[in-house]
This record gives sequence, C-alpha cells and structure tokens, in this order.
Amino acid sequence: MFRTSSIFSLGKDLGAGAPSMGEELSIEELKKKIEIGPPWLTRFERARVIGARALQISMGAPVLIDTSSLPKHVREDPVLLAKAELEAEALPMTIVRYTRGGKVQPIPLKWLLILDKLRPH
Amino acid sequence: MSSLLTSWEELKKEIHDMLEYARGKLPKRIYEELESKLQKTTEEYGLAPEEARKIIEYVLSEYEYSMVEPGEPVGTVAAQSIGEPGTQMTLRTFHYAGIREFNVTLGLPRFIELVDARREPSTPIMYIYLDEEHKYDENKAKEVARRIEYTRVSNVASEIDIDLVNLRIVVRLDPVMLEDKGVTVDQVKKVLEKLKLGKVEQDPSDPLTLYIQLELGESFSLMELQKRREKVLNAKIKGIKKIRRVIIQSMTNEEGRIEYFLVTEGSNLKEVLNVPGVDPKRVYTNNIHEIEEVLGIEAARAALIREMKDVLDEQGLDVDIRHIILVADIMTATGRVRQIGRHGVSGEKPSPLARAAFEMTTQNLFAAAARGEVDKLKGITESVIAGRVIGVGTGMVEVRMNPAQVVKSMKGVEKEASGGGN
Repeated sequence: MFRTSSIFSLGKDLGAGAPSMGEELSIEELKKKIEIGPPWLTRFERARVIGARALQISMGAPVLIDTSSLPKHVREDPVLLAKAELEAEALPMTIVRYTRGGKVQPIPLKWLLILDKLRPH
Repeated sequence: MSSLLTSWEELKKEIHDMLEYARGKLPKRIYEELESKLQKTTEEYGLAPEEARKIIEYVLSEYEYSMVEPGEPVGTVAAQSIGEPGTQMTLRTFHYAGIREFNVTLGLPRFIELVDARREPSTPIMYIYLDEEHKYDENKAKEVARRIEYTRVSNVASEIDIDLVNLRIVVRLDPVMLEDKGVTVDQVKKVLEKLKLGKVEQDPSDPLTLYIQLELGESFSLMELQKRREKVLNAKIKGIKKIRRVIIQSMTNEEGRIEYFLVTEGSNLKEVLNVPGVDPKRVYTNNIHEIEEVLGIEAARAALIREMKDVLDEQGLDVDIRHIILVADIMTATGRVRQIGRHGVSGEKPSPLARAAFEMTTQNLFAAAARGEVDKLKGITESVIAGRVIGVGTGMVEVRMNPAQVVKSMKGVEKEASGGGN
C-alpha cells in the first residue's frame, strides 16, 4: 500500500549491462567488494579517466564504441567521445585505489560505473 | 505484503539486523535520531518492516553520499574557509567583550592564541559549576568561591608599614575586606606567624592591628626591611594559586531553577578539581594546555574545537565545524598539542623539501643533507618543487588499461558496426 519505487533495489541482478567478468554480481555484493573508498566513481576518477582517454583518442587511438549514431559535434571532440565511451561502459580500465596505510585494491571501472548510476543526485 | 506495525518493540525485533548494521555505520547522533524518528512514526502512523528497512537504507546511503570523496583537498578548503571570515575579524581586532566585570580576549587575537597553542592564554578564565549541595544557595556558592580565590595578606590589609622606631612591621587589616574574603584576624595572625619573621602581636586597643616584632642582627639595611615587608604582603592566606578573582554568577538551568556558578580570572584546573563543593564533571577552563595535562589529548582536542567555534560564533561568522575539527585534529594528532607554525605542524613536516619551502630554505636543506634525510616526494609542496603531478584530486587517481581487453572490445565494435551496416 505504501510501496514506492525505491532507488535502491536490493538483491536485483544487474540486467543486460552486467559486467562481462564471468560473474554476475548483485548490487549489494558489488558494494561489499569495494573495500577502499566510496562505492561509486568519484568525480576525480571520472575526470582522470575521461582525460586519459581523450588524450589517447586525440592522438589517434581507435574509439571503442559505435560512433555512427552519435551527433557530429560529439564525433569530432575527443573529450566528448571519451565521455560517451565511459557512459557506455566500454573502457577496459581499472582504477587502483590505495590507502595511506599501504592497502591497494584494483577495481574494474565497470563496477564503479554501475554503482555510480544508483546515486540519487 | 507485510502488515503495518504500531508497536515499536515488535518492529524493532523485525528489523533488528538492519538497525545493528546502521548502528555500526552511522555516527551515534545520527543513529539515535534515526531510531527515535522511526519509533515516533511507528507509534503515530504504523510502519511495515519493509518500509522501515527502506528508510534505514536510504539514510545509510544518504549519509555515505554526504561524505567527502577521497582526493578532496580538505586542508586547503579548511584553510580558506577559516581564512576568509578571518579577514572580517581583523577589522575588529583587539575587541574586548565584557562578561560583567570581566575582560575576555576574543576575536582574532584569541584565535591566534589558540592556533599558536600558547602555554597560557592572555585572559585565562574558568567556569566552575557546583555540586548539588552548593549550586542552589548563593551563600554556599560564596563559601566555595572563598575557598578558591587566592587571597594574600595584601588583599585584606589597608596598610602595611615599617615602624623604624620599634623595628616592627605594622599590619592594619580592613574589616570590609576581611568580611568579603571570609578571613578572620586569627587566620591572618597564624599566616604571619608561619613566616617566622618574628613574634606577632595584636594591638590591645585595636584588634585589627597586628605587629610583627622583627628579629634583626646587629647590622641591617633598609633593603632588608623592605624585603620582609614584601614577604608579608605576598603571604598566602588561602585559595588556589593563579586564581586571581572569583565572581559568582547565576543562571536558570534546565530544571528551571536558579543555579549559581563561579567564573574566575586565572586558571588552575588541577587544583580546582579537588576543591570540595565543585562539580568536577562540569569544570571548564580556556587553557588548552591545562586540559591536555589533566584530562588528556582527546579532551584538549574537544576544548580546541569548542574554543575556536566560540570565537567565530561570537563574531557572527558561520564556519562549518568540520573545518575547525580538521585543524584541531592536525594540532593534536601526535598526542600532544602542537601549534600551527614554526615549532609545530609546519616545522615538523617529515619532508625536508617542504620544510625548506616553509622558511630558512638553505639552512633547512643543509641540515637535512647533513642528516642524510630522504624525501619521498609524497606531499604537495615537494611535488610542485620536483615538477610532478600533485597527489590530490585527479592527480591521486591511478588508472590502468588492459591492452588485451582493448583488442577484445574493438572487435566487438567492428562486429557491431558491420552488423549495423548490413
């Protein structure tokens, strides 16, 4: 009766966009897997990834998504292309998070992207 | 669908695991607010366990999202957030606000004092609250005040002279002051006897006049006499050292009753805590070092935060408490209170390059070289000097790319593109 559509669906599988890492993880499992830092892509990580990728594209690296359907201004801008790649979860990157204590955890970019989409704002 | 529960106890049992999880994650205050609000809602409108779970979940994620992200330059933000309002304070420098008869250092001078971690504040003040027995009675409060106030002979004497003819010191006591400080003539007499300057006699006709017959050798100088007079002047009758003045104030407490408490000029936490009639749990001083000595570093940190916040609030400046907490944390992180500056945080940085950038560049570098110090180039200053990316924000994110994966995903794109073409 008071049921509202929750932003956080517990225990649901990730649907079609699930990672191709061979394992299907629920949101909760994914959250628990991230030991260092927040369970989403921080704005610094986002900027760093887009920047690094845009540099590669600007120097001639092949784009990893189908660009034919993208508008012209996006196709001509390496930064926008990098952004589109990131949103499409097409970047095979790993973010290495570390603490001052020396703990290190490499996290697939995809995981962070999936969790990031759950953020309400 | 599970039904609505109107009993908090029942609901609590249902969602026990979730509550425990939240208790582990949330700060105490937020957790308590969450629990009390859940209880209130349950009792007023009823709540289904699954709804309660969702609420807790939402609070948890909302809390998580509100935290600063790793990489945020919190120190710089704190510095600016305190520094900018600080410029508004400078215009009102050396402004003293009176608490009745008191002068308290406030504004920028006080803030500098705190950040410099001075041994003694320029206006040390204590707030002493009293125990159940003494707090509701003005006379009993006065009793405690008299026990605390440092009283010397000069405080109760109207004049103290040297009688050169009879070679004695004449002490004339002021009856008003005696009454005010709660001192009897006998007490003064005993104190004077303890000085061992000579026999103390009371004037037969005037009980408020005391004579100290000096025992001097054959030869003596006037200087010597003066010295003895000084001794008499400064002889302690009672009270606690360093507490120069005590004032009784009253306020209406939470129970709606008038409660008396003491405000003192001068501070001596260690000894005030032992005075009977004082509620040791509520004694407060603005001397951070005393708090550190008596109550430990965590108490000193809390006091630093409170004092800094009070200064800013008093000036009408709205600075987020977390900036202040960060400053206090940095100052107390080593287990003792360090100042922000040459003899503290800045001067004790582990990196020699950062220290050289702070002050006395060549001397610092020479000293570091002589000691064979190693600079790991982890900090901001060092990175800038060495021309590296600084380890803050985007600069601290480490990204790796997997070439094999690139090839794989490229094939995917090609297939997609050709598939789309057909």
